[in-house]
Amino acid sequence: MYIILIGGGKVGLQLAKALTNEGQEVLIIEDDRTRYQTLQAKLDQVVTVLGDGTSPRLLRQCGIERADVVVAITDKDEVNFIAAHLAKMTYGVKRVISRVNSPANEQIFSFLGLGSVINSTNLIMSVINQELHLSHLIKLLTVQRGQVEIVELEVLPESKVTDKRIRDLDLPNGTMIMSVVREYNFIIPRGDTLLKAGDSILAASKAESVEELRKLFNPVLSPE
Amino acid sequence: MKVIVIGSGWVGQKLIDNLLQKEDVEVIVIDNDPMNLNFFVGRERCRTVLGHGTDETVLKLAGIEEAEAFAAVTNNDCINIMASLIARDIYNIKNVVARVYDPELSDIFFNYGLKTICPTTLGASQIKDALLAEF
Repeated sequence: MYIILIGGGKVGLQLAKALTNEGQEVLIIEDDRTRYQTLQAKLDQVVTVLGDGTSPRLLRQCGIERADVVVAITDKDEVNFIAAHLAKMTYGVKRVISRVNSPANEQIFSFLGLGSVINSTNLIMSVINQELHLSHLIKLLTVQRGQVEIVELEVLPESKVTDKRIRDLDLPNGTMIMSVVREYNFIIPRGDTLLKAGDSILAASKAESVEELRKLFNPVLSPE
Repeated sequence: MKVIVIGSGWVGQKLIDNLLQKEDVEVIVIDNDPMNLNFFVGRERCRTVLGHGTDETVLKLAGIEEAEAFAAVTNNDCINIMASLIARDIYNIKNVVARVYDPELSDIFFNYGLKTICPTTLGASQIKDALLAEF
């Protein structure tokens, strides 16, 4: 596959390394000279180009018309927006992925029809949430244009689902438990799998059912 | 009529001066450089908002929901195009103009129905006319 990365910061550099290790053909466009020199020094199987990733002329010179994937990952949302727009609408690239730095822009990107959007701020927030255990439900991934969420749930000792079998749970419509992780063991769940406090659950859920799912796993306060 | 202008460099200042000459026009200027905005403080029928023109919070503060016209004239093509598309497609403003330096980028978004103005093409053609004019 031919993959064009727009933006060669830390994310671009790591992504390029990972992709070339998989044997993909990678080209990076970076407009900052210092970063460009770093890229050149650290990457040997990747073509690095110094220039503006929103210039149609440069994109064509980089062969965007034959690119299978374009990833716009600069730290500037407007640059990612224009680069992704050009790749998708003008050059008909099949897979276009863009990074959104400001969470407020996520809606704008998807409203204006720009395929896959990765929201780096929310991603970091969910990791922090996970580490701090602020919530027993963490949204990991949104797929199918926002219709389906992949979430991680923690089974709390005070929850009413604790020590219940999966088949006895009153799961909301359109949700499915995909896996249970117990003490680092991965369990493929069945109807008779018993949920234990401390279990971590991966579930897929329709976007509108996520809140209901969260409630189901809510801790129950003792009556007194 | 409420007009939002993002970017108040040379073109922005000139544009706003021209707009304010019309009595029924109210201008809201958005710029991320407070020095540029200083120029408009205290002007009649003119309000300034400090911030980025692609930030919805800033646009709402500028009253984008009631605006009838929108011009994006910062020195950054990407910001101009993105802000214009937000104004046109999310806030349904009919009269949206974007300044785009890159002639090709300007053409591409013009073909998507965005009113783009390319100073590069305009300048080049005027200079050509001046050069070839008969004495």
